Amino acid sequence: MYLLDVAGLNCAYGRSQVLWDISFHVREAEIVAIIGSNGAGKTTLLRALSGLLPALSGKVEFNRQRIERLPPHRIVELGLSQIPEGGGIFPYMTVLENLKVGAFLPWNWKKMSQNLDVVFQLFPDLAERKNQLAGTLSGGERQMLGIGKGLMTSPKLILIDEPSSGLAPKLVLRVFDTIEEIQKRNVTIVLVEQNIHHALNMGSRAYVLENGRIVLEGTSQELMGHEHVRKAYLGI
Amino acid sequence: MFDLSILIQQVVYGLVIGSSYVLMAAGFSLIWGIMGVLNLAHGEFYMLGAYIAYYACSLLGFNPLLSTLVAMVGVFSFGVIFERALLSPLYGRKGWEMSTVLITVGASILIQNGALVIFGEKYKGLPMYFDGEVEIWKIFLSYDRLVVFLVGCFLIAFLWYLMKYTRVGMAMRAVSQNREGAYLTGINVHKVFYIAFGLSAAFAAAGGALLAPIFFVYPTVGAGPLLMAFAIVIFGGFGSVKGAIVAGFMVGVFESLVVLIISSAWKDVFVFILVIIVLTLRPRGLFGIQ
Amino acid sequence: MEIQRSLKSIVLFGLFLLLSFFPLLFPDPYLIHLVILFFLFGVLVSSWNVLFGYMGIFCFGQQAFFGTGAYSSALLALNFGVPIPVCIVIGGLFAAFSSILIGLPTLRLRGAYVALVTLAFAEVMRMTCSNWVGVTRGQLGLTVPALIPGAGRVGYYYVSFLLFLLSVGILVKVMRSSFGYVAVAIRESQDAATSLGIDIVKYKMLAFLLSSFLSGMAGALYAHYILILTPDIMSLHIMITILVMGMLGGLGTLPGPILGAFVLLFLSEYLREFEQFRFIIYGALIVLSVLFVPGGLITGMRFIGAKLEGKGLRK
Repeated sequence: MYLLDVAGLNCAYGRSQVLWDISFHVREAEIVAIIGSNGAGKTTLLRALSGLLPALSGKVEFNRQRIERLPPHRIVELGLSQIPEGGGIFPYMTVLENLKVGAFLPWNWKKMSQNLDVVFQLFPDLAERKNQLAGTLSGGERQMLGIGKGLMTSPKLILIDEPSSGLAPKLVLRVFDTIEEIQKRNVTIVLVEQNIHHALNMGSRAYVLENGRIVLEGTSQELMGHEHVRKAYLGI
Repeated sequence: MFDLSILIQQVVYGLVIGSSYVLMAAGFSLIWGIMGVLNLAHGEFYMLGAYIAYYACSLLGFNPLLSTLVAMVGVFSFGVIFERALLSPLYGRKGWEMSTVLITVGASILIQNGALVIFGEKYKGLPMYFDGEVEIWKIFLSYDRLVVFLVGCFLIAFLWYLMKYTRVGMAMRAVSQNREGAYLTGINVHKVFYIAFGLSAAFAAAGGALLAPIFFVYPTVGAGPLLMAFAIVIFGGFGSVKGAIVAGFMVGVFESLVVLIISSAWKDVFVFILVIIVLTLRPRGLFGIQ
Repeated sequence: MEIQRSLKSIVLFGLFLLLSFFPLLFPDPYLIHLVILFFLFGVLVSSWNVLFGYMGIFCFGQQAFFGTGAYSSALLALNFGVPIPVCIVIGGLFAAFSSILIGLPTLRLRGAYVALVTLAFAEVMRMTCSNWVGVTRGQLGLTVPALIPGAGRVGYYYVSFLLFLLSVGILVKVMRSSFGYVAVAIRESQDAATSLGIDIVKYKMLAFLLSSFLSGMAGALYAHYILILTPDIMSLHIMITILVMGMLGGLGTLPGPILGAFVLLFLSEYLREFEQFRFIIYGALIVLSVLFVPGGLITGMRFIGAKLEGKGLRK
């Protein structure tokens, strides 16, 4: 069955509708990509899924539970976490404190040292900078911290908003390697990306979002070869 | 020219009053940092704390520490109800900044005048908690003032500890630094809001309860401390508890010296002028986040 | 729409006629006094509305403009024997000047900070007036020469009516011009306005100048009518009254503040017996208004008007 099942989702900011009839699904342990250029509605979609933006209509089912009307903290409790663009970190707290906040929920708090070990294993750089203020980290380090913080919530599924944005190519590779590592630990991943290459290399399947609607879906291979994708996004 | 010991005496008084100012200001700053709300009814929490202490002491014979505790608990609950009833309906709205300012103004007027009707306009005096005074190096400090200072410092330390080392404090800091990031770690932001608001009210009430025997208790007694809290928060930087602490003591001493050197009638004027100057030159204040 | 427009014009004209002949129709001096207060507060709240309702500037010091106009006009008349109508205008100018002092620190500040600075400024002015007994006689009160010595209320009625019409006329003209659009743009988003090339500083200062000038003249006229002036004219109570009137009537509209002034003045008349509850009621009105009727009475009336026409609410 689907871990995440979205059907007919409509969202608006005030009176202007931004998402139209969004439907997609994600199976356990998959990596699914959602591709779209700026303004397509990617971040809006993620915010809606995490409960930060109320839905006008439609259904969002996570682990067979309806979540579209739940408050954000309940959604995290159920195992759906998000790493927003920039990591969603707390600039005036240390790296260690940031990770601790990630473990805020009671049962995570108990598992804290376990999860910290995992995170420091994945990101030895962060272990080095344990007591550094998060605001002084470089862009790449912040992204790592964001991912680490997300992992501290013991998620079943992580939504990642543009993990490669603003990063140098070498760092981008590292980030994606890390994402693959995470998937191996049985965490399902939904990746939102502007960069088609990255997205299609990572994900097994992808959806294309344009002007607030899903216009295409398929496996990475299918989309790579698709005429519209090649013209509009790969410039071929 | 000046008798140094008088000067130092005034500085010490300033520190005593300052400790209570810090309690007012820290709560005010907390709310601004965490919720982005300017609570213009903050002075009323101080006033309610003073009245509760007054009645606890004079009617029930509670000692000052117990009265202060009762005041804090009572006003904490009131603060939570206040936030839930008046502020939380406004969060999603357009122009909510203006709405929250207006509603707190309205609430302030309502509570102040309600107190006027219920308690009467007469200034109520609370007899000294303790008799006698202590002398250190030619400086005289009444036991009452000493208690105010010590309890004030204790509460400040308590707040510091709460913010830095407890899970609740961590949640509050997280929300103030990145609200969306906080939502995404499973923090119930609305709960943080009302707890923080209740805390801020409780601390203001502590200030009112502690200073009750030193200044009189009357319905508009909260107006002065509110403007002081504002001045201190601007000076120390909105959103910074550390700034509120440093600036609180500084303003307390500054005010005390103005009273000594110029006159007590003009003390508020000078503090305001100080505020206006600081805002013009350095809008962020000493340690401001925003 | 046609019906609504012509209806509106008829009502306005009718009101104008009524007000013009009011003292002849209802010679009761107390009623005339109330209407004079209505005119003066109407000017005060309308001019404050330019700053708060239209431009979104949290000015909580309007009472300072009112009082500055009053005191400067009174002192000029008393100490320098300047003819009183001139004093009133100069009073307005003094108030405008004071608005530069109060406005400057607030220009780069946002929202709530402005509230504090303006509030602090007004309090400083009030305390200065209160303490500077040598000049202002502080709480003892300053005796002010009358505008129309010896006459009954009727003379003052028409003078304040004139000021009221002038102010409303100026405000209508100004707010319907591009200035009005800019003001709302600034209120909605200062950043967006700046990026459109609008000189925010200039417009804020203009708003302060206009608002304070009108409030100052209203204050001066008030002083030369009431004939006794104390620092209470700049008390927070005045600001609260302005706030309630504005909110009740509807901020950010032209008729709103005037309607609010009218309703509140006559409401407080009926509630005379409950004088001690007056401010409790004001506070409750503000709270309830924010929670349930943010647009004030005017929005409610427009809503009903549109409903009666069988249309949806047009924005």
